[in-house]
Amino acid sequence: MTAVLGAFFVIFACGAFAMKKIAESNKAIENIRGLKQAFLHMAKKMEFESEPIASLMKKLSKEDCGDVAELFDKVSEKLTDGTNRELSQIWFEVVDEYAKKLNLSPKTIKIINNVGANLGKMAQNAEIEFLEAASDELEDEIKFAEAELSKNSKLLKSSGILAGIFIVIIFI
Amino acid sequence: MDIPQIKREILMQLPVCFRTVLSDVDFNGLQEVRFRCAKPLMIHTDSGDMMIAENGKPTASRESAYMVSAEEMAMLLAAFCENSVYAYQREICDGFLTIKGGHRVGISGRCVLSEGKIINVTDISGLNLRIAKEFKGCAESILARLASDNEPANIIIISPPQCGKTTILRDMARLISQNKKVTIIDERSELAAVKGGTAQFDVGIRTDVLDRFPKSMGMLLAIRSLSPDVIITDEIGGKEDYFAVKSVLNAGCRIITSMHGYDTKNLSEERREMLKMFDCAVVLTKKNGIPEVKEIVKLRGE
Repeated sequence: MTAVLGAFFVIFACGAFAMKKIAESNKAIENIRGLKQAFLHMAKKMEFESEPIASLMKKLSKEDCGDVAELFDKVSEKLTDGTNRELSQIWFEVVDEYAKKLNLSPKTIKIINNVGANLGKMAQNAEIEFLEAASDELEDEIKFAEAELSKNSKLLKSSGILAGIFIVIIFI
Repeated sequence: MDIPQIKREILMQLPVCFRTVLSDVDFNGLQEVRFRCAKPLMIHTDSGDMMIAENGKPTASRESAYMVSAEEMAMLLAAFCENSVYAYQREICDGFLTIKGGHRVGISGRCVLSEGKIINVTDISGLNLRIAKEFKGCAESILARLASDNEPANIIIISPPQCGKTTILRDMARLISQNKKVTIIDERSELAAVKGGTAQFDVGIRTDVLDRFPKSMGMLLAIRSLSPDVIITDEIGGKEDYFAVKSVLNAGCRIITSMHGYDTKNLSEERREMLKMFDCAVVLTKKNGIPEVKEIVKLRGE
């Protein structure tokens, strides 16, 4: 009886692990969507409010852009801490800190770091166009990640269960 | 005027490299700090220009002076623009920006033109930080002479740069608003230096500030929506300003403003025409580095 329960537990655990991986991928997609949304909001705010980047990011952090809100809050906080460091420097630091937490892919990090490297240095029209272009790139990333997920989710689930069965067989 | 506070306020807005160097500089009598690319860091005080050494002390030798690099200039501009060039674009195209505390930063660099208009200034080669100071009470004697039955006259202040036009206008706003509604049209954020909706200078309790509004538009908007008794604005000159001042006077408002010049005589025809709309002109000058009233000229009926 214990052996049967043990075997069931191992298979369940491997299945759950596969499900967790799928959930993480979904979360990562949500975060990219949040970033895309935030960039588009930022472009709109630049166009109509023309506020400095620190207060703009503070406002963004209070909007509904999911877990990425924290990233903008942190950047805004560091921009107003009185050290007067360059935005790009602060941005890279914060992205580095949050990349793992937000489960961002290297490609996504590259896109958002490119935004950080140029943000606040250009004229209004150029900033807006640049943010819209970055949003388009993030949209491509979302599509790619969704396609990858739908392709891999069945495989992940079945390989999780198969791995569980395999472990059970080894134990037997 | 609280010099230590002004010093703190300015140092906090500078990148660390300049903050360190300028932290030992005496801000009493300091008028300007000049940052020029690949040139020595300089300050301009009541007693003249001097270079600043790396230890923050004045120096006469160029070799020991702190040299400003191109990277530092970029950092400095980013700091003055709060890392948001787009938000200060209009000011940059106008050649200066106003930072926290109402201090003005003049910009020199390469101009980018499109259809005859300046659309950007790039390759910044120099920044000139002009320290704004608040002298409460400096306009008391002028107002006392030019107001009858508590009604201020339509006044124009004429002076070359750095003779205290803005300081006097600011104090006039504060004094007049003790019993009258005042609207300041602060096109360059210098008079009230509004940041986040709060005026950095004391411009009085009955004063509304139209921040960064173009003067002519702001004057017309103020008449329509804020019912001011007195409108105060800085540095008028263009044709559109002429018509806006006329509208203000037709609406029964008083106007107090300023203009660049040395006196009421040596002005262009257009400007002389403009003077006719005012009751009196206050001409300012500088004697031994200290601003003073040169003359008060009655204009009405001239």
